[in-house]
Amino acid sequence: MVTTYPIMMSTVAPKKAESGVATPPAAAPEVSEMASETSSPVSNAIITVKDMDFCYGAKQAMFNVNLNIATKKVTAFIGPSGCGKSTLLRCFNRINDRIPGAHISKGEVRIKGKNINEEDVDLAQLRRQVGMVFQRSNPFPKSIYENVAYGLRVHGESRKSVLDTAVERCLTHAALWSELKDRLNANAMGLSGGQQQRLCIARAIATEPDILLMDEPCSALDPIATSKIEELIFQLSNDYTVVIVTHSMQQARRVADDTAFFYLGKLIEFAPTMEIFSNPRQKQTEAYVRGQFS
Amino acid sequence: MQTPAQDTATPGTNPFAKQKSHRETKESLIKWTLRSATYVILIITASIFTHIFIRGAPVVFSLTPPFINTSFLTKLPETLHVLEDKQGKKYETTPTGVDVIKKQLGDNLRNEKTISYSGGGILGPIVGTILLVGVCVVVALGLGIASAIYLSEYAKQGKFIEMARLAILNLSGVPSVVFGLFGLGMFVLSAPKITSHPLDRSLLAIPLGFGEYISFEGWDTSVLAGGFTLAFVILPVVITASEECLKAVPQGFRETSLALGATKWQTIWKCVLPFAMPGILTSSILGIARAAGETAPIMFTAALAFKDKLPWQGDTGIMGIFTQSVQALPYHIYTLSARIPQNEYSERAQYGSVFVFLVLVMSLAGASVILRRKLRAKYKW
Amino acid sequence: MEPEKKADAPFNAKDLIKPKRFLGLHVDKQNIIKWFFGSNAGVTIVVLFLIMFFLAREGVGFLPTYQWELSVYRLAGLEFCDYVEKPISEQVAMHSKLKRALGAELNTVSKVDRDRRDAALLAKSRIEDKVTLQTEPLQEALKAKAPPEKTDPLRVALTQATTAAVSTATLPAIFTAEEQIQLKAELSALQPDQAELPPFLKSLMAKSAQKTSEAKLKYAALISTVDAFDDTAEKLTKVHSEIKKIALETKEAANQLHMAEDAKKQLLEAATTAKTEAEKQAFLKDAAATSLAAIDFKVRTQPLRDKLPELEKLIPEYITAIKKAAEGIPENAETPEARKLISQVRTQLPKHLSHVEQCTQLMRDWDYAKPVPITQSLTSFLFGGDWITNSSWQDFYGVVPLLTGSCLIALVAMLISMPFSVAAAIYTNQFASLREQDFIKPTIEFIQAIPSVVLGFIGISVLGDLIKSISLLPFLSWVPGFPVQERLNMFNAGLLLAFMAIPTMFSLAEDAINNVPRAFSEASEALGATKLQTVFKVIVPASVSGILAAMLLGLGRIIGETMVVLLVAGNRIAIPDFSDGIGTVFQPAHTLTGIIAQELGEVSRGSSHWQALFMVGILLFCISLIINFFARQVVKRFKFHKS
Repeated sequence: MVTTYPIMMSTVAPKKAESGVATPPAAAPEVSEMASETSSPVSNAIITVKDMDFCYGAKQAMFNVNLNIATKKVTAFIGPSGCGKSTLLRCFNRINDRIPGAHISKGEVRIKGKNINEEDVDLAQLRRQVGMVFQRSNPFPKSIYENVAYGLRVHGESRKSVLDTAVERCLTHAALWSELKDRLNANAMGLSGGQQQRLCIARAIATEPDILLMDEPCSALDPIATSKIEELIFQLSNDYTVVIVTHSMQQARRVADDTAFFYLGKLIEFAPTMEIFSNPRQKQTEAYVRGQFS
Repeated sequence: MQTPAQDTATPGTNPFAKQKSHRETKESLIKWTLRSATYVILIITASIFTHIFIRGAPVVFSLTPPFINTSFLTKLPETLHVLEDKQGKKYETTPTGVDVIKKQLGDNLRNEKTISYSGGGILGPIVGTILLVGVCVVVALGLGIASAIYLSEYAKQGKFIEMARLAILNLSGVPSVVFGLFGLGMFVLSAPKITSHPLDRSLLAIPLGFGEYISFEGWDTSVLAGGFTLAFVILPVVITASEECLKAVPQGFRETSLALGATKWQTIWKCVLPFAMPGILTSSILGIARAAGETAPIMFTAALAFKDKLPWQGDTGIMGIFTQSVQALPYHIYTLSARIPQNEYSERAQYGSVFVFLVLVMSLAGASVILRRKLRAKYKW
Repeated sequence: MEPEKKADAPFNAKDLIKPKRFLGLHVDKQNIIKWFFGSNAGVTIVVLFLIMFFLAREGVGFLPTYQWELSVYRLAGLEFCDYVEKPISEQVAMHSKLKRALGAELNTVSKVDRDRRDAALLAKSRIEDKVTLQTEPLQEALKAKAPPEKTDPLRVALTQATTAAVSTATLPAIFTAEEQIQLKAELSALQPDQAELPPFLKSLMAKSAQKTSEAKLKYAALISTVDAFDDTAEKLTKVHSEIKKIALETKEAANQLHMAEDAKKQLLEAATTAKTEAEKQAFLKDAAATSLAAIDFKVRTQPLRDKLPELEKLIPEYITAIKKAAEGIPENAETPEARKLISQVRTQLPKHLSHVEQCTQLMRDWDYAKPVPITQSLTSFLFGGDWITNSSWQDFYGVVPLLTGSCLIALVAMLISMPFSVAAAIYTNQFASLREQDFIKPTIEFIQAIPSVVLGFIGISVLGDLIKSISLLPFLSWVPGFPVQERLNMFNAGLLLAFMAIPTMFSLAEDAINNVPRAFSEASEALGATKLQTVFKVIVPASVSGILAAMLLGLGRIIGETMVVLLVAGNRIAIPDFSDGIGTVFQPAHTLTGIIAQELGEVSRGSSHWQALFMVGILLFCISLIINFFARQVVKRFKFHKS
């Protein structure tokens, strides 16, 4: 049983409207093939998942997922552990390729209209444009500066001036600049957990991706650090499409424009966040958001 | 045994007091047995080092300026001649000096002794060992680290790779003398070589045109054959250790780097190798120290008991250094201790060589221990 | 890119397309890098597999070669001769034991005086050695019949030197103080042209001679028994050496033929690849000239079979003779040594007799033409008790003596190293303070880097003499095997190998103990167990598999070590004489690794000896694989799952 719901992006008032951030106008859709029968077309969808099955070796982990993720919004994936939300997220930059035997067995994932599993897709280019922040903050044991500059350096940027500007811009963006500007050469392993995670976000946006994937970015952090990160996510959604996996419903409610609920490898419900939490259409969703199972 | 009732009845007593029994003495006895076993090992180690130091250091160092006995380190080994005149005076001299002294003494000569290898210095063996270890380092580290990178980063983890890994692991336990046999069969007798006149025993000679052949006839006993053999002795250790170090770098680093758009190679070069390198180097240096100390693998592949020239003193050119057999310190020590009688004159060369050799090998091992301690503190995640 | 720009063109899918091909080829850079590492790994793996190939290539040829050698051994009749050889050598061994027993018995009477004589003579020769510088000119002068005024100063100088030498000499305590003074005075006065020995020395000689004859008288019965024992095999030995000669000639002929066959084959081969017709003809001519007259082994071995009746007659004679001689062996002897030797002979005798009886049957059944199967070359390699090379009679390649040597040395080494390394591991991990640990661990790991040849040198230069002098201490004489005969022996080698193996065992055992979860010890201590109880009841049992694996890997290291055993084990190729009990370990032996290192440099390439050494290499390779396999199994079976 697969049901997807159209994202009524402009009809549902964003829950963070009070922050004064208006939804950016939809860009002209260049993507032609992204419409599918089961998911309503979203005029400015940047990621399109169509009839996707995913397997780890012989074991199927995701079943016939259809999903359109809108540009420059925060989309949250929620669901109990093992429901496949992280798996799906990791499909978007093909980091799942690293796991032996993991593959998409049916359907496709399109980003900006391009099927990213096709032969001629350059992984480096893909990942440059689809950034990712991991569950555990994992800065390299290098200096703060080098951590942020890493992405640019691997893309061949070695001009000091460019790197300096980028580091400042990203750290400012991640609200770290004022804290760290005096010790850019210190080892990043010495930062606190929250700072490390924000540094990872700064590092991820240094390559100026269009999409930022976040895999439970706050699960290892204390409440104060979490609130800082959430604030940051909220800021980031001005410039980036953010997809965040979280096991905290409160967090989804706080940061996400849209929310998708997964259960046992299936997408159960996908709707604006308000709707999911206030008026879920599926029984399972309702049970989950009420905390009846986890 | 006290009961709780008694405890409460007499509040002044300590309920947690030690129970007196001979168990306590037994325990401390066992503990001291263990302790003394440990210290016996340490004392034996210390006494071996001290013995060699006391007997060997005077050969190399002296109490008067310039404090170093340079001739022992800068001369080639030679036969020691001891002449005695009728007044009981003894003259120690080199083969060239014998005639001069004989002429001087004339009829006064009472007897003459010759002690092989015990005169001169040990420059030849030192140079030989350095050459062998040099070749070994290049081959073992190059092949070893590259193989480890392939096995841990690139190879698809399947049955075949698992088998290869198991084979490598098992080979690290194979006796070094067996590697010597293998080196003899492989590098000395059948490794490929470019030559214009392939030997009769060549396994296969492939003509290259212009009169040259690739001939599988081996490199003969040579630095090259010995160095390669040593390299394969330590290769299993280097590969296993390097792979472990690569595995120890958290997977997250790789994922993050890839997620930032780095290519596989960039990820390995910038995010894996820098963090694995300290460990790889530490274990490699230890492996090299082991290779430098091995005797059995070079016995039939490179070493020579006696040679009166340094490798570059000849008409064979630069490449000639690597295609001839050399003296090597461990083999020299073997020759000195097994092939000549022990007496007061041979002792100088024996203890001197052992001392120099031990200092060389131990400084390698010591460097690796220090390196590991420093890096262990520096790289932690 | 600035955010605004991005908003302008967020859907540029072209960015995702791969860049141009590297160097215009249809491979990209990543693949080239991958191939580079892959080929390196490939080379490594291939070469490591080649190890087995090269060992096998050189070693496998051994089986047919040895088969051929064994078949010649049979065809030429050497086997026939060895049927007699075996009892004869047994008889010789028993005789020498009896002689030693006799010597021990004679010593009870004559030893004291002989020792006194020997000690005095030894002191005399030592002093003479010291004064050679003064003696020589005097002797020359005397030779030249120089006048006394010339020789006198020389005599004075000599006497001075002698007196000086005597005053520093120490005489053993078997002389009383008075005797020592007397002896010293006599020694000081010695002159090179003295006709007779001084009186005290003379009396010592006379006393010794008298005691010797007394002893001979006392043990006349035993002496005659031993002599009778010696005479029993005389006739048999004579016939045996006759037939040996014939067999050896036949073998020589067979070898010649074999070489000729090889030469012919090579010539024919050369002819097929010859460049010119003339060369080819020359080769063919040479090949034709090589005569390959077959050897009729039946005719050649006929003389051996002809001797059979004579041998059949001699053997019963020998049996009765030796039985009779054996009757004379006394029931009891006075010295323990003699008792031991005589009882050894007594137990050997029935076995010997049955061997002698069997030998007749063996000779009758012997058939020169019975084929030697190829399996026999393998079994006689693995289970053969003789490793005899460069022999004028017959080379045998049986590894049993080497294997027993290796195993005994390994046993000694394991018995010493196991308690030490485990104790050190437990102490370091559980009891030592952190500072102590920081000092113990690197020091023990440092041992690993000591080159084995250095330890071998220590064994030769220090440890050998140390063991020997310790074994001479009177209060240690109860230790089996003491006093030690040989400086270089299995115990010496085992001691050094134990020291070498300790770091391996220690580090791995320490790791294993360290891997026991802290929760275990906490739980135990929370129940009120003491530290020691916790260690021995919880931690050690939990890490026992790791400790066992550590011991096995240490064993692998001990078996595979070459230089120490080559230098220190004594290199005697024989199955040790186990009649000494534990003292056996003080005998010298040879080992699997040592034999390769010692002999490979000196044999001609491709000969059966060369191939046999490669077979020993294969055997070592297999042993190390088996040990490794078991170590892994042990770890796997008792694998400890961390919660």
